[in-house]
Amino acid sequence: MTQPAHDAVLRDLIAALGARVHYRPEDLLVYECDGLTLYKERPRAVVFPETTEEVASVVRACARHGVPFVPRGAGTGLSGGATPVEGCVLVQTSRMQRLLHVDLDNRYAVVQPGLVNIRLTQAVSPAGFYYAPDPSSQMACTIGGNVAENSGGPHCLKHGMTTKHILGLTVVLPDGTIERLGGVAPDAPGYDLVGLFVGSEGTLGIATEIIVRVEPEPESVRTYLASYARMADACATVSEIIARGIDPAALEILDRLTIDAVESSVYAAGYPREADAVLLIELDGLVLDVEIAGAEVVEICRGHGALDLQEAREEDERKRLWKGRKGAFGAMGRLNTDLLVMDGVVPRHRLQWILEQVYRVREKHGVVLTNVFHAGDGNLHPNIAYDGRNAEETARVLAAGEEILRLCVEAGGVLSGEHGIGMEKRDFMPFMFDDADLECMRGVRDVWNPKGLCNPHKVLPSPKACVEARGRMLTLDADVPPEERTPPSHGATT
Amino acid sequence: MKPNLQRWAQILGDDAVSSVQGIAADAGDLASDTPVVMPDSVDAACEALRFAHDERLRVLPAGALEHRAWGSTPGDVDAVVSTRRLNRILEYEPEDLTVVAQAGVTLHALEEATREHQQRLGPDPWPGTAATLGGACAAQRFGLSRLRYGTLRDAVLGARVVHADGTTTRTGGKVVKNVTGYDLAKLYIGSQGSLVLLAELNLRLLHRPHATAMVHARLPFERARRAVWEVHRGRLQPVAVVVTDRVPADTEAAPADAVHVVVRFEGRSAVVEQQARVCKELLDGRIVPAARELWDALRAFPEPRPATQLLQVSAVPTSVFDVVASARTHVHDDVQFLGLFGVGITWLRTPVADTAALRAFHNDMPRGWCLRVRGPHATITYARAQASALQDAHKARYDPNGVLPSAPATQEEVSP
Repeated sequence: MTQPAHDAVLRDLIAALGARVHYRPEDLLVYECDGLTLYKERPRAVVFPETTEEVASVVRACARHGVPFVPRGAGTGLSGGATPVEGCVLVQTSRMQRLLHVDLDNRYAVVQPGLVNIRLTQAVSPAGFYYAPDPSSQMACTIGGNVAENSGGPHCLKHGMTTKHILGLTVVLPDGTIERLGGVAPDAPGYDLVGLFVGSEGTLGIATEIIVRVEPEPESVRTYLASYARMADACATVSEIIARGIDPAALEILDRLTIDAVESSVYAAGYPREADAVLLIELDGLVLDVEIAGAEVVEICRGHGALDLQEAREEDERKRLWKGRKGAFGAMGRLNTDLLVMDGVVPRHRLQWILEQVYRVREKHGVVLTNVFHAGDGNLHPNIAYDGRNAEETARVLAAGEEILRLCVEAGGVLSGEHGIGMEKRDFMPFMFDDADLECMRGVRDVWNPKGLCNPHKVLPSPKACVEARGRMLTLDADVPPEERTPPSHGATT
Repeated sequence: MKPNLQRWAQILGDDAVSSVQGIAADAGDLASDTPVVMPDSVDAACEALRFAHDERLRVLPAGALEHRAWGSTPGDVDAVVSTRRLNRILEYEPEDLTVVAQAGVTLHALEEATREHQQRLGPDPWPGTAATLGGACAAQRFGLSRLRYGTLRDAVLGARVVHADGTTTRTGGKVVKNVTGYDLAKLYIGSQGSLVLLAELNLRLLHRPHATAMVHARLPFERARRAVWEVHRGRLQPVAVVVTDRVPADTEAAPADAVHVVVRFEGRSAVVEQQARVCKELLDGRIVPAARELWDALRAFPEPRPATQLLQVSAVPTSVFDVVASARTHVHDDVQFLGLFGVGITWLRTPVADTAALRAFHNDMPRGWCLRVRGPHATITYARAQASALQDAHKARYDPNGVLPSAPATQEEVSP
């Protein structure tokens, strides 16, 4: 255990924050990882600042002593973005959870980063407003964490990712400087540093105040649950809904194994167990709009062979239908002790193909894999349940996960739709980007973080990892049967 | 010595080289004999910039060179690198509502290419047929429907760019949801060519609306303010709430403080009709029969015109009436204006350059507001600068040798 007497940075931190510096091993245990339990590292200390100035003093202390620091919200991230690195100070924002200002006429609020996502909506809901980004972890995740990861959620299909809802930031840079970026007035002068910062996974600085956009609640919301005998029919339903320009708020699919896990858990929502897939459809907007769109949705679902179609018009019914979807990851706990949640994205027209490949990968590696996904935007979440104490099984799980992501990229997609790269996927970045692309990103990161102290070893791979990853990408064709290969859909040269 | 046309032609071929005089009707502040190089591939664009980098030249990335007023002052330029021959649509996936297009594809060409599938680019940046995607993105253009459709920042999924040293990189992807790596496209959009040359853009499309309708009312200033607030606080979902001092074909004599309010709806026919009816009652206005003509006239307002200057104020979303009132006090009592209520952008057209008046207007602005003055050939921004050192550091990182134009300049004070 590091003692303040022998640790200059600890002494400086205690001088700044007093008892809000934890450094005893028993106090650090719960901070060893975030939602990605594969990688664990005990931090040197965990600090609990309450203001921008305190965050700045922490960061300056770290900079002075050359000590890395890692920002953390609720620790619900799934890519290791908030996993400590060796010798780091973890900057925990849970004591920065105030709603600082609300201006509903101009449709914005100013919040501290530790404010829990759902609490923001709860605060403005009495006035008929809400905050649109709704990750599945919204009961626990923080706005600051959402900013770091550019979080999504089921309703980002219609309402956009977090980046669309962030107007301005107060940021503590890695040298301890405090800067204000963006603002309520649109088109702040200079480069769009707010747009760059959102989704930078805590590697460019720490946001300590966030100006968020809030929206009027939709006049009407209607939710449908359609069940299908074949996954292909559910996917075809999604394709037609999009093609007809219906603009749904959410389109979510759960496969048979997921349905089974959910219905056996406390999240049971009445999903039909005999279905191969269920499709959750939500519409929101003006009453007449939802009425017309709803009729079209019903017609489309029946046209693609929906076995059953439930419709929820009241809030209680809506919550019941969503309970299963929102609890799907938690329900996986019934299958095994650990869960690897993938997060690849493919173009919508490749959805059926990637699903077939995912199930093939499942059989190939002999893993327990279920599928939940945001069908409307092609964002998959294959979930692999395993026993993390079993090294051999863990290796198979990781191999399966990597192969799935390689396939996503091969299909013209990307490595991550909403969970971020973090530690989990950083070595896969060469699947998508060449050396020049990655060097460009490194250069931008170094503009903000020249000493590399702010959340290091995240997002970007080491040069060695680049070489190895490219080698593995070349073997992809050998894994996919010839009749199932898809021609490359990106990288057209000019 | 600056390379002449022949030298550029040796590198890129005769077809790829002209002069400003040869391709632009109005050279503006560019010397008419300034070489314009027009690569027809990304590789050729790389070669052009590599040559410029090696020869220590200053180049101006450009699209069609038609809308210079939205760019920054380039200073002394040795050549223009125009993307007008990078004009192919590379991939179009109607099922995914995505398109990959070279930067020289015009907005009009994209509109035509996607019309068959009843799709379009959501932000409707600009009238005219020659404006390019790259130019619109570099200038962060947007249209009057920004309230619903945002700006090009919201439509760009990824990009391929050419750097000042002639290398090329990609950022983002081609799918509508992506958090892989740093979102460098956000840096590039609005950078006015100071960081990179945009070569290819991956864009998100939207479905064309089934129907549109517009409601127009002419009201006294304060009554218009109240009516617009009622629309804003109600349940209607317009794509635009436009407040302006005049509309075409408005031949009736109007009170001095009359304001025109135009509210636009898009979507399903029945829903648009219903909303238009409700809005008509709220504004005591009329549903406009020839909506397209009016809309095109309004869209043309933010273009610079001779012997005037165009001010663009960025302020809080509901500020339009306050901005107009302040402009009437400090700048000109008969200022022409068009504002987007709910967005916070107001354009003002005034006689040219009364700097004292501009200064008074700027000083009257609350902190956080931003004033841009769009002259015929460049834009000057007056605002409280943000993170200057960080801004400069990005420019230095991307373009250490100063091949590309200076970063969009921000002045804190209107100059005396």
